[in-house]
Amino acid sequence: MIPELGNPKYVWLRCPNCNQLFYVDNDFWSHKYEELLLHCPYCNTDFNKKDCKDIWR
Amino acid sequence: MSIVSFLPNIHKGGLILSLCLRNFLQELEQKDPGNLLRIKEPINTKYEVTALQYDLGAKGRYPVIFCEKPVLENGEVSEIPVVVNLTASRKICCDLLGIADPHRAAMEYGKRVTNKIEPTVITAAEAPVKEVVYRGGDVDLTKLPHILQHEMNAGRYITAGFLVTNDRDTGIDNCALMRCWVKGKNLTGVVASPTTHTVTNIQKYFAHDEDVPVAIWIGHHPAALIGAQGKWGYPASHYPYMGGTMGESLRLVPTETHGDKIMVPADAEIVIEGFIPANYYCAEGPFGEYTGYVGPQIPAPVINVTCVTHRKNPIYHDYAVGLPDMLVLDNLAIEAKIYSSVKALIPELINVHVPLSGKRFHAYLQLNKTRPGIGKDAILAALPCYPRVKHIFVVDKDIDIFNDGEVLWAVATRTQWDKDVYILPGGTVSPLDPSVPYPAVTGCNGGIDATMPPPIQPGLPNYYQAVNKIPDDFMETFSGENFYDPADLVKMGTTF
Repeated sequence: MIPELGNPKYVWLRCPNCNQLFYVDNDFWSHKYEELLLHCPYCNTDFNKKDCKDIWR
Repeated sequence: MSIVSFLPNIHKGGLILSLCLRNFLQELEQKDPGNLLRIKEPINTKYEVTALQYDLGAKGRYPVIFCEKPVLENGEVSEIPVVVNLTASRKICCDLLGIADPHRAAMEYGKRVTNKIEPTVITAAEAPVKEVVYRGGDVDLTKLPHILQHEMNAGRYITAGFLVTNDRDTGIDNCALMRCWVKGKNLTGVVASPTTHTVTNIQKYFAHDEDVPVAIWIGHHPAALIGAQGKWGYPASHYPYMGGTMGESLRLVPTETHGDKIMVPADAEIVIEGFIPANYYCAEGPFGEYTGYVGPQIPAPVINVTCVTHRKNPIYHDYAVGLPDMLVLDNLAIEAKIYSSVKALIPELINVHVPLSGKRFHAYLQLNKTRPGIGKDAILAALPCYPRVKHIFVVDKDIDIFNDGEVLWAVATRTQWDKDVYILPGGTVSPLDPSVPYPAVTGCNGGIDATMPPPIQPGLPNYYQAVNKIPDDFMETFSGENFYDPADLVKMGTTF
């Protein structure tokens, strides 16, 4: 975690399909939502967190 | 004179018409046509409608905007018009409540919204919202002109839909404004803040692993919307309060899917019915929020849509999130709540304003400074009144609290922050406040006492430097317009 970079309550990531940046809630990493797919608001791709190369959290 | 009459019914040709969105628009166009902007040419539902609201807002103008030919995602022109900025004008909202002076909303609003009139249930055959019915495979939400408002929004959202749920234990209904991401022909997301009665209702069904029966109604008379958005107890139906603000009994009709278990306003424009599947979550968002920032993608439930009903030639209503379009109504309610609570403790309170500039986070309190300490007392009394309000600014009676510049002038010239600022960590805050640190569930509230010291004794001036002014007796006879033509004002330079 880099305190000066962004806001640590959100997780910035890059869509593995279109490379656009957006952010999601930290809750997606909790046990309850571990298997939930993320959705890219730019290209509408659903993807697994594990397929994401760039994650800032 | 009121722009919009606050009459129980519109009498037309011997018929009594129940209040609804379309007769409000008709009345507005007849009585105050300048406040209804009709866009006759095609306008895109992707960004363009919202951009127009930003453009007019930057020029200080907030007419109700009626888009006759909204262009859908597939490029087709929708036959369903879109109305926005319906409640963006403080003046129109106050007129609807019979509040003659919009500056006095804090004192008057509470009295106007606590009246209750019990609703009347009518049959489907009598209900305008049942004029057209689509069930099962015929349902196609993408035909409605949902607006794509901001960059990074996950998609098109229903933003002016009131989600009706019921308390599983008592059957008592609740309705609340909830955003719903349109994910497909018969699927939407649904997001409710964790502290809402809607979530309480949903969780009760989820606890029994049962699907939640729901309906969303869109488009009604703005007086109905005021009652629907009230902050009532739990469980408590909002429908009698909607009748109270409308001045007539709200007409309800059972839904096609849930019967009288979930009832909806019969004079709404559009109703979407369905179920929230038990304990099922999907990614939802990001979404441009009222704070002026894009809220993150979150796990949220969905709605499987079973039926859509609407009036013939329906009108679609959209709230531009974060703009006065959706803030004005809520801010009026917050002002009233703070005023009634603080006034009971501090009679010197004169007025309260929740300014659009602070979204819902700031409140300006104006008081008569009769004694030292009263400003800080007011901060402490005001903070718990509404969880989203986090900063209180207390000013003297000479400061116009409807003018952000005057409030900032008071802060600049009447405060020393080592003694005039209260910082209160660990309080309730909005989870949507982007500055609240993670993983804290509380945040920092506070206030600034920007009042002058009181007079040494009653009748004397405040014990402080005197404010620059031109003598009152001179100003009584002075008129600047003796020296210029008001029509030339638009040509004159500004401070920029």
